[in-house]
Amino acid sequence: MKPLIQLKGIEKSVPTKPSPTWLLRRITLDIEDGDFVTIMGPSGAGKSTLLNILGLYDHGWQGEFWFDEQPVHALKPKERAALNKSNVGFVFQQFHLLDDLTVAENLDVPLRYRDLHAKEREAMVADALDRFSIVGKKDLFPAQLSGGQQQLVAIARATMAKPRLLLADEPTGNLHSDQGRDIMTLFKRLNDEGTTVVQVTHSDENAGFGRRVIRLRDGWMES
Amino acid sequence: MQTNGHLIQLDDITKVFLTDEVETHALSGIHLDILKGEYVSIAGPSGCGKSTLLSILGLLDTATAGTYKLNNRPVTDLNPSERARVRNQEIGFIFQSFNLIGDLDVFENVELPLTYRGMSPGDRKTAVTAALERVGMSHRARHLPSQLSGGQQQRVAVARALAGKPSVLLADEPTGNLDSRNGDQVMQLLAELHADGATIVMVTHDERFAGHAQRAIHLFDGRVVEETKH
Amino acid sequence: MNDLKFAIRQLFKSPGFTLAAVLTLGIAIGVNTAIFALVNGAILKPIVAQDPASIVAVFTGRKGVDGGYRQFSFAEYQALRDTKEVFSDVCALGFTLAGLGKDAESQKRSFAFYVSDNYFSLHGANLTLGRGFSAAESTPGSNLPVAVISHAYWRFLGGTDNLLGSTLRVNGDAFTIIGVAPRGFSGTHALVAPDVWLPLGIYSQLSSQWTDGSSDLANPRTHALNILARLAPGVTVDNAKSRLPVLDERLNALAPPESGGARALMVQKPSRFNISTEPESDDVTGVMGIVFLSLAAIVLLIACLNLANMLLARGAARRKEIALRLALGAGRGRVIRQLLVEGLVLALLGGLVGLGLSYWANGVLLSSMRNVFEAMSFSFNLVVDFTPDRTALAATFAFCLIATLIFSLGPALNLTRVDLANDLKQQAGEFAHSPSHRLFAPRHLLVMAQLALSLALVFSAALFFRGGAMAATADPGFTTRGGVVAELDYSLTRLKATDALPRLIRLRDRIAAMPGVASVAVNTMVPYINNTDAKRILRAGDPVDATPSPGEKQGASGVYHVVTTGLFRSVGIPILEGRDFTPAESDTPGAPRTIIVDEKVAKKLFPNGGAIGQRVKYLAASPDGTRPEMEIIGVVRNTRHDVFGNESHAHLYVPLAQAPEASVYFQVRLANESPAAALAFLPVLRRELVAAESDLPLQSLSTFANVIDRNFGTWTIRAGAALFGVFGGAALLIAAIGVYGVHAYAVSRRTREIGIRMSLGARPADVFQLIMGQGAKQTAVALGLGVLLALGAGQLIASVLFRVSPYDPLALGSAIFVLGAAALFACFFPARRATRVNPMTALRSE
Repeated sequence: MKPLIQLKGIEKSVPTKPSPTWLLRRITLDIEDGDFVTIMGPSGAGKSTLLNILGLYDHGWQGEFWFDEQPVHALKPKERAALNKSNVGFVFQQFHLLDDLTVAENLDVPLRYRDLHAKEREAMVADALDRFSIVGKKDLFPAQLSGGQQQLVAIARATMAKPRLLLADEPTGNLHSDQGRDIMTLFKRLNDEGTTVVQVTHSDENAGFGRRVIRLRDGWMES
Repeated sequence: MQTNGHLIQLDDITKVFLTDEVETHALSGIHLDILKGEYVSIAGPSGCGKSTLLSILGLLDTATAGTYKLNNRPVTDLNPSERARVRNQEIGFIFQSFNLIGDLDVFENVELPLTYRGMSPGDRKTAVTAALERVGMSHRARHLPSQLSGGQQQRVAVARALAGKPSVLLADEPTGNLDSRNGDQVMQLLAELHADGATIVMVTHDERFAGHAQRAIHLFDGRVVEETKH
Repeated sequence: MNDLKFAIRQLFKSPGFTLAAVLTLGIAIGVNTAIFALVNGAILKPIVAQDPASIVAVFTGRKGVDGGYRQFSFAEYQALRDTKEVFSDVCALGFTLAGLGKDAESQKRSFAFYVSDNYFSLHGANLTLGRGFSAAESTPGSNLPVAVISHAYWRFLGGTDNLLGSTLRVNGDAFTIIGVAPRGFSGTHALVAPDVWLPLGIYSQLSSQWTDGSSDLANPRTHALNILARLAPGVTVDNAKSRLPVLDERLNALAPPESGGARALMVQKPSRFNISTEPESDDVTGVMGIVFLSLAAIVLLIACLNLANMLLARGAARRKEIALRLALGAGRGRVIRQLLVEGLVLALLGGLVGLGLSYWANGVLLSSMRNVFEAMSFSFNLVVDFTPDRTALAATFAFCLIATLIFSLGPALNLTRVDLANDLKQQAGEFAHSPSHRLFAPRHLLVMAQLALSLALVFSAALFFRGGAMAATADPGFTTRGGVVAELDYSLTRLKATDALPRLIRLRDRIAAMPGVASVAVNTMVPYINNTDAKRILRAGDPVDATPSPGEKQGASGVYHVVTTGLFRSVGIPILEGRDFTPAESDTPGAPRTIIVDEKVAKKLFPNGGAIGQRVKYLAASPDGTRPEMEIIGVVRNTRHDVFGNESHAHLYVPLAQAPEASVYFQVRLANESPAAALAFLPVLRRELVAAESDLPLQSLSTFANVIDRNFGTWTIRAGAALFGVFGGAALLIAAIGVYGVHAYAVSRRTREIGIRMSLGARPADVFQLIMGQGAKQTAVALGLGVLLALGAGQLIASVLFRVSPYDPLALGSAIFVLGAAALFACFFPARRATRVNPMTALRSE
């Protein structure tokens, strides 16, 4: 079986004067279905850039990128967006919940962009509230939650559409250590249940939850 | 212990963020003394409170509890205008993303803190020229930030922090947006400034750069968990 | 949760923004709806209920010549009605003035139509009550006294069914009311309708007192009818023209032997504003309508652009939310749709406010028009309805949709064009703009232009207010204190002027004897009444130029007053030299001919003085060709006759007995000069007059002050002040919101810069100054421009307004102050927000 993700010679630069600044250099990488990969490296090494490319958010790169046997480098933006929509969930350091929506409404947002019936959506939201044990919080607004609880909701939202790939950019960066540990345990559980996880982190402890580590430096892959 | 050697004295500094019903303790009871001429690094994982601590040190933010003395003067209870004055005269900031003002050229960016001080144009010119000279950017004085590379922008930012001859330089991940070569150059510059007598407090989570400092402070969950002397 | 619910929640979250936006939109949409309703009522709305497109006006002009139009004879009308090639039906109408009332006391001079029997059926009008005219009643000379009254007049008379069959007096003769026209029925006229329709058969009887000549409709030389026709099925205005020559031949065959030359018919869509013997185009009004609609559209556009700035400013705060939605899989279209729904909710709220505003504004306009029409010398119905109807509602909704697209599509496109990777990190882009670009970017220029325009409008309003105040306080040369004016028109009772004279004298003496009356006199030309009649006199010894030179005219012209003794006492005009008329001179026919002139006339004719005792004559000869001489017996002070103009009119006064008139005013002066006393005296005087003569043709009765008040010039000044005040206020508000919008947007874009400046030691005051300073500079430039514009407008206004300086410093100063204050106030909020920027958030770069 082919890996879920195959990167071959991925490069990205931004135009600056006098010469362009390289963010990623010749990244070649396979990620198997069901893997849990940690990307580490100092600030500015290109970790987030790589994560955005893996999540199909970024279009300005060169190289070959196969996602689930589809050639991403040859897809039109619309097709990439569709691939992203059905396969990728993203968790941010700053949670990025919509402040004006309740917990339940936040979970509903990704579903609303998928042409599902209201009844179906309701059931899926209820299911997620159960699975992540946040039923009691469903009518609260993000500002009424602790950071850990917000990240829990964010992860629930990221997994609403049952993505095959879950990406996380410093998911515990804004959390206290014990809350961070809970979140990592949750990622582990999701990974055990079959979701492929890729996280960016500075923390060795967090990296310990994953199966392998990739180190970046100045846009190059080390090791 | 001699108090007049102390530049910064933090006593039991606590910072709590309140959002509707949830309290988040970003800092819990921080004690920290920094001597004049010291080079201190603050390290720790994301979310440990280092940026909050730096903001409080730089008087960009106020602590929920505790006292902060800068140059033996309590600055905890100052009003916004007084805080702005202290920032202007005592503190030089260096940010990860340089934070130059895009509409102003290099000279004007460096001149800005001096303008807020009400310095005469002649004195300003002298000070700005000296600061740009110091970081090796005087030949780009009339360029806009967008015409400079990241490393050059950060050098201009350092010049701006220096120009007002502050008591302390606060650097927040100064190499975070730079590649290794440019990062090393900026660290080298900071080391030289320290050698010339500047007090520097730097947030970083890069162990290599923390090694430049005389003393490394490690924060975890809003507390100082470790101090290392180099 | 759907887009709508979220949109409403968003609006509730920022009530300040919502209020400002709804107010802006409300004003802009209100202006559009109001003007659309005006244009719709006056120009667009069909007037004739049934198949309006097939109604045409028919004209007859000289064949082959441009012009030479006249009315039709009854014979021509009948011939046309008998043809069936072009018209399916043809009706005839004409109009006149008549004294109308249930009795002599309630009689008023009114607009009246005489019409053929098929008039109502041709218009497709179903009478509210009763019937229209019969063929017999419409036959010339039948003189059957029946009348159809307007719906409004019916309501005025009580609006009961038993008014049918009751008697209505027309010029004193009894007519039977046989029908009531449908509500708002006006024939083909868009604005006004008559109070009464009479059958053609009474034409001769009606017109006998107006025209001394032939008034027999049966006479083929009596051309007194206008013709409206309904085109036969399948005939249009265009293809009717080719068929008209056949009708021409038939009509020309009817012409009496010595009529000059052949005539040709013409058909045209009837004018909405004129009833004329020659074709007239409504194009001018149409063009005006387009101009007004365009102005309104510009207001809407500007309001929307201002709003777009506010939305952009808000959008900067929502950029993260939007980026997130896109990251969660929303298509760009979905997010744009959501933003448009938010805009639409705003626009609909604005539309609601606008609708309310337009109802109110047009109501005020109508009642103001009614008020000024009441002061006219005859009455008619204002049928035009400017209140928004269903069409206007639909238009308002369309305005809302257009507004939504203009003000929210731009920001929506802008906000959804995002760089996901960057926006989620909230890294605002660095902008490299020169300071002058910041000050004069297009969006800033737009707001500055608005400020300048608002200044001109506010200054104009201030000038009108000043003008009004000056007109109110200026000495007109006479006094209204204790004054009461009663208008009588004996011509409506078919009394000849010479026969009315003894009655007028008797009435005057009776009024003079009433308790509380200090003085009373007859006057034909009350000051500030809305019309003028002037005559020109010259020295008796001067020969009349046979060939007057075009420039300088001979002698002196003056407003012509026919009066009785005591007028100058009654209206408080001082006699400067000589004396008033004696009762003998003013009341007795055959007394020696005398005249009193005002100082202006005296100076013109006798620059060296000594006017008293001199003899003068009219420039225009009497009907018998003579120019009788008059002796000047007095010189009185000059008075104003209007609020407009710097120069007052000159005046001539001649005794009533010397030049009798049947239509006159009594000017009464009471001993108690309080306004309340004058008001209280009105019913007393009415009772006294009615008691004196049962068929008294009393036309109006009011206080002198009220007459002045309803002067058309005064109304114009007030209307000008109100119009410019309202437009100036609206423009000011929209401009202020515009200023707020651009600065709020600027602050949101400069948040990071402000954070940097704070970290470098900028105090809150420095940051405040940074934003305020920019606003102040722009305001100063805009106001400089606005002053030039205002002075230009001032020149125009000062040319029509009495004693107002085009540079009036008080008006200019206060306008600048108001504008400047409003602009700085609008700038204050963004500037204050800038001081509250949290440098930590602004500088965070993770």
